[in-house]
Amino acid sequence: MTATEKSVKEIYDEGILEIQKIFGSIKSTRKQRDAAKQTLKDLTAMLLAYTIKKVEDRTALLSGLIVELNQVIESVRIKPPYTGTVDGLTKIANKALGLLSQEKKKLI
Amino acid sequence: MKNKITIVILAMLLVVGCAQIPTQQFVQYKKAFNELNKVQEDILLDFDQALKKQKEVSEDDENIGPSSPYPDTLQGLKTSATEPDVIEVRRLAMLTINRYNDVLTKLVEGKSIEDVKTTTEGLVKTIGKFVEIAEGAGVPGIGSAINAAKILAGKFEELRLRKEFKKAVREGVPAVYAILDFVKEDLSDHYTARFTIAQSERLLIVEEITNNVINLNILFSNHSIPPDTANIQGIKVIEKDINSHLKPVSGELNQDEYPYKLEYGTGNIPAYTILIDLQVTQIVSEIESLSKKYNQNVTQVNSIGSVLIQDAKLIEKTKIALNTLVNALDKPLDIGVIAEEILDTAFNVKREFEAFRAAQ
Repeated sequence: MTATEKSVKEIYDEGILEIQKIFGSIKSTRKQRDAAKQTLKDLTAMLLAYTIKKVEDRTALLSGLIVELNQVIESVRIKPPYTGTVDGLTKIANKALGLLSQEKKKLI
Repeated sequence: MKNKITIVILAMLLVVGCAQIPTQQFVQYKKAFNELNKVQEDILLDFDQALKKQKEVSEDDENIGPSSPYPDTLQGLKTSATEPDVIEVRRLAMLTINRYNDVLTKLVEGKSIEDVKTTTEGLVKTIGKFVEIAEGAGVPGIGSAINAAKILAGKFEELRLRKEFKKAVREGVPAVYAILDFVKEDLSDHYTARFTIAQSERLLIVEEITNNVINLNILFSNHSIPPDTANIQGIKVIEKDINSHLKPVSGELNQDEYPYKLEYGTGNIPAYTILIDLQVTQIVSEIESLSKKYNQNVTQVNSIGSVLIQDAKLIEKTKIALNTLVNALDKPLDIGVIAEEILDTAFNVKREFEAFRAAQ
């Protein structure tokens, strides 16, 4: 837990404790209750905003990692790089084979 | 010459013999990841809900007075349009790991080995025919030569796949690891978001409860003991009822006040009537329903907490499996299995060469 995180949580916890006391008592006045309701709203918004900021900061880093992993995926050669060359060689050899057969027939 | 060929074949096979992928460790990692991926989908949906609620809370707070249906500055419009979707990026991260795993699976399956064998067979066959036409006679033992070439080509492809797998794991694992760490860090914030929203709702429930108790007290203290108690609930029965309904909430109620005591008022005030009794029944029923809502709230937070803890465990399990896979890349593999495989393949190649030589 970072220092900022700790202080945000401490402010929140202290405030909640006071609100809990006001809401939990039948002796609290309407004014006290209204003030506690607004404070609860503010504290909730503060902690949520702080939390969401952390999540959003991580989102940017995650996007970078997605790009990085995609680059690795693209660089992986699933198909052997030389089968194309061998196939090419076979085609050339087959052509040469045809020519050789023709030449041989002519000689005979 | 014969011995030289055998030594060369064995030396080549010793090199390609190490071409093994730690399949077992990969399967374990993939299983762990798939398990995590299934759970993660639901977790992300809940996270999405929590984030939406968070936005509602913030907007509620900002929208004091009449609101505008669009931002009042271009900057405001731009920010909301280009903001990366938190959930979408997380889903994409999991999908990318899935794609990465698929690529590794293809390397593990080694389907390309058969392709290489077929291509090699085609080339050697053509060369054989070439010689056959040039010499005017068939090449003796060409079938054996083709088989030997196929075995070797297959083994070399295995080596290439192993190298490719090792490279893909070494280059991809740091990113997968970091993504999993971020996903784990998210869990803590996911819980905080859920907890904060639930805590606010729970405290408002407590406020409503005590407010109802105040109203109940007012009703009783503003009325004196009814002269006729027929068809009217006993005050002690109501007192017992509300205290029993509020037992689960008692930890949050002022300990000097709970259990609550109800008392009729005294002095020159109207007497308690059936009409008042109906209002009391309504309030008691409202207290009962609020107490149930309170229990649901507590159960919900505890449940999501358990789910998130389980998910954190799954992430750790996946990371361990990933670590085992990485370690297996450098570990000397089962030498017995390798030796057996080398000898087996060497024997096959040698046999094909012998058959080829015999046919010459």
